[in-house]
Amino acid sequence: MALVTLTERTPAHRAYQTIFWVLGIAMLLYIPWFADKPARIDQFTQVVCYAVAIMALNLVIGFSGQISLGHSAFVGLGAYTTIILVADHNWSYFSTIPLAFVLTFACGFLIGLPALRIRGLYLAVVTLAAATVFPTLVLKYGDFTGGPNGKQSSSRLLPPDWSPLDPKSRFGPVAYRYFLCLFIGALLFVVARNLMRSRVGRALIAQRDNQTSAATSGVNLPVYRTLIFGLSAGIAGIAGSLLMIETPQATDTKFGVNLAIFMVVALVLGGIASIPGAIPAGLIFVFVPYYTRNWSDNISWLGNRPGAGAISGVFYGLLLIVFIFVLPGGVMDGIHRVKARLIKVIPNPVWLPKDHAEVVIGDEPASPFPEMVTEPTDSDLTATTTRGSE
Amino acid sequence: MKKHRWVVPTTLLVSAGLIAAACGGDNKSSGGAAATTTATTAAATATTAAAGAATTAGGATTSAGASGSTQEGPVIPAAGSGKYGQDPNNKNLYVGPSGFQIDTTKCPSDWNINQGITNSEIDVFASYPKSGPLAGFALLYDGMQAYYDYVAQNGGIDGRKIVLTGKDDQYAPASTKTNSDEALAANKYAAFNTMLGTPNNLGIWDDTNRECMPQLLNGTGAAQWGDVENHPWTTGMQLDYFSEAGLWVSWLKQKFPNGAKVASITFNNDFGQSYVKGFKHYIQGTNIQLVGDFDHDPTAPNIDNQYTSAAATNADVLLLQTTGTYCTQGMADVEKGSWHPTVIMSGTCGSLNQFFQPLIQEGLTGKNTYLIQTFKDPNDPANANDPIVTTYKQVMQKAGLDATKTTYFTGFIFAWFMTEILKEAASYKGGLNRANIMLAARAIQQTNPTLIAGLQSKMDGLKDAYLTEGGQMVKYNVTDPKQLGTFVPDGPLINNEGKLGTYATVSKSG
Repeated sequence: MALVTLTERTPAHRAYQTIFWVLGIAMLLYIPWFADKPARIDQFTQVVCYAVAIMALNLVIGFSGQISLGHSAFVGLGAYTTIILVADHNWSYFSTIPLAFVLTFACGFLIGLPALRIRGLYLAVVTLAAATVFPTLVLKYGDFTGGPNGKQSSSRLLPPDWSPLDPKSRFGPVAYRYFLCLFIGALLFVVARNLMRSRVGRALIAQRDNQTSAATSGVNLPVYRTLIFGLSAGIAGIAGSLLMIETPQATDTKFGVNLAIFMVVALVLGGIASIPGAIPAGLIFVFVPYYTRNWSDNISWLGNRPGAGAISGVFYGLLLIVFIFVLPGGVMDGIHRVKARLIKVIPNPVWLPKDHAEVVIGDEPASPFPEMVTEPTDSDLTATTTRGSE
Repeated sequence: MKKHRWVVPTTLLVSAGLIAAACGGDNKSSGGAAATTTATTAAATATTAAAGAATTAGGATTSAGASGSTQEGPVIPAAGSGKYGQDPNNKNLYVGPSGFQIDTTKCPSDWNINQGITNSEIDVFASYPKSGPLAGFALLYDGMQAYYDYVAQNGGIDGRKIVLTGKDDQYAPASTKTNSDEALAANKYAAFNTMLGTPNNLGIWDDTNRECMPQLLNGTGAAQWGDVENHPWTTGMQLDYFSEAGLWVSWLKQKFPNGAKVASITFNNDFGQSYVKGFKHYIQGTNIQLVGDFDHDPTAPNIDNQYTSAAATNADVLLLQTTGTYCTQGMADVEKGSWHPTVIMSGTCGSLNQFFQPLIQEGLTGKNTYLIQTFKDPNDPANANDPIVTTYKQVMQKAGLDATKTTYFTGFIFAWFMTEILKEAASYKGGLNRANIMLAARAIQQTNPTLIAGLQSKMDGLKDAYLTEGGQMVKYNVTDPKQLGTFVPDGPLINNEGKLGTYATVSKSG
């Protein structure tokens, strides 16, 4: 039994929601002071950037059901667009973001075209090609991209005059970049969340679960499937631009196949088909490899031994396996389970038809992919009709 | 629809994330750093990074022999010269060689000139790959720490011990940046001591220069480390590829007094292109002519096409400005073909076991290939009685490390320079502090015993920002085609020491 039972849309429910929102936002804003050291703040900025990239990936994998292993290329393309324009053409960081979006959107759209014909593993292979080719292209056109030395800019984004942050301090610029990335990231999260709750999102989920029935219901499959690929690539491109705001250096190795694969891994760990799942995914992406590296450095029985550091890769792998066993639905699944234990939200009886039977909601949260594996039962149908009446 | 079901998860998660990050806290790197234990776990031989970034200086064999040093006792740098240091009239100004100055008022207000330096210790930091494909380079730091321990046993830096703290970056520039940021914020290191990788160092050098953190002896052959004007706090160590090409030209001028036509096969990345730039720069005004340069991709399966094109030029000289297995392929192509140019190969391909041994299996030898050597090879029998080599072997044995792995010796090379810098700085006016360390890094002038006898490596303030600029052209000599041959010196030592100047020269040669 849950600790608290709330009725949907009652003042009590609203109050809980408001408290959580306020607390959540306050926490996000407090991070620079909490992290204190510039290096740690920068890591949180990276979390924001990668969370955006992983959220974008989730639109394709989680919501539209197409596997992409090529998103590292889109992040990289966005990053290189920004850094080349800033370093070589004196653009401002902000003005590069729309261009990065447009370019990556176009590329994503083009790569989305084969996705119309192929599915599953085959699509994964095609997109993997994009991830593999990207670093090679960077090296190939070294005059333009900086080749293996990478492209870096020594001009960094500083707090504007009106902000209370001191551009000359060590804290000011780093915190400013965090807030900036957080703001843009939050905006993208809101857009994605609203989009997935709109007609577009429902159409995407419908075609993910059953293409034929979605098409029968009037969902234009080719349009949705290619557009979502483009949109996802575009958001990933913005994530790349944000990464350049955080650290203005792009190298071929930063945007290789490793990034693509670890983004998918982080996505699964965070919670597939869940927009907020990208936040734990971003934390995992940045902090887990960082701490496994440091831990393995400090293990006494291995420490100071030549080659001891190599164990960090093993730790990282083990951790991921354990995670998958313990929380197959990802962090978000775990959170939903905990939440279900603590707070139960029941539909407001006012909205139910008069002759409706009592609604029973269990403690277990819904699986992120309920429809994919099971046929809807009668009770599911009843629930749908009754709960969709708002 | 449940509209707000993700509010709670989000907040919970953020808090969980914060807690997780907080729990990590400060990473107390393992005190004395990587050293002294058995070397069984390491998959160790460092491969030459194809990116051309961090190439080890070891790995080549020579019979050049003749150990020049007659030093007895511990093989450590001599006491400092005491020539430079704090200006008597302005305590914030530190005056070094050839116009090089440090004005400490330009450093951050909370900058501590004595940071990382106590009466018993000097703390230095490095970020390098301990894990990942280039983890073999970690041995370099074990070699360094082993030498530092040896120095400490022989008096140290006025009784101080050098303590190297290392952190893993898997050779990823983004991780190097994080490690560097943390080290800068830790307020406990006197200097950064040899970071590996060109992009890795480029990614942090704006930070180190802003924070007035000496970023010394970068382990990469990029020419940028000579940018003393814009990045006074950053220095390199090894012979850069630009200069190596210059040594080739010096040698070719003697070998071909009537001029020569040269063709080249080039690894198409920054590493290969550095050779091209350098070669073109140095042949200006000579009768040596570059008749064709043929690039190959970093991922090319072989360089047969490039060889065919180069052969069509019928040039007198072929430059193999590449590395790894492409060197072996290039030598094989030449030996099998009817075109017999003088072949000069990148010094990164000097390892007999790695690059010449495979030829024997093909019934080839690679004989008469030329390359530049700069540092001694501890495995060469001719060096067996050289004091630095005997010291190296003793130190390695004591530390339980395998002396035949030349990457450890490369660590000795770096560590010797670092020790000299610190000893020199300790002798300056104002005593051992970070400003004097930076002056000393620009005033290196002792003869490093790891260099081939007769070579010198110097730094001279604003005049000469490159440490290693000389080398010995050696020829691969084969007596028994079934056995590995040896390198024999060809021509005099070429010492271009001081000729390159600073990065301004290189960047102008575009």
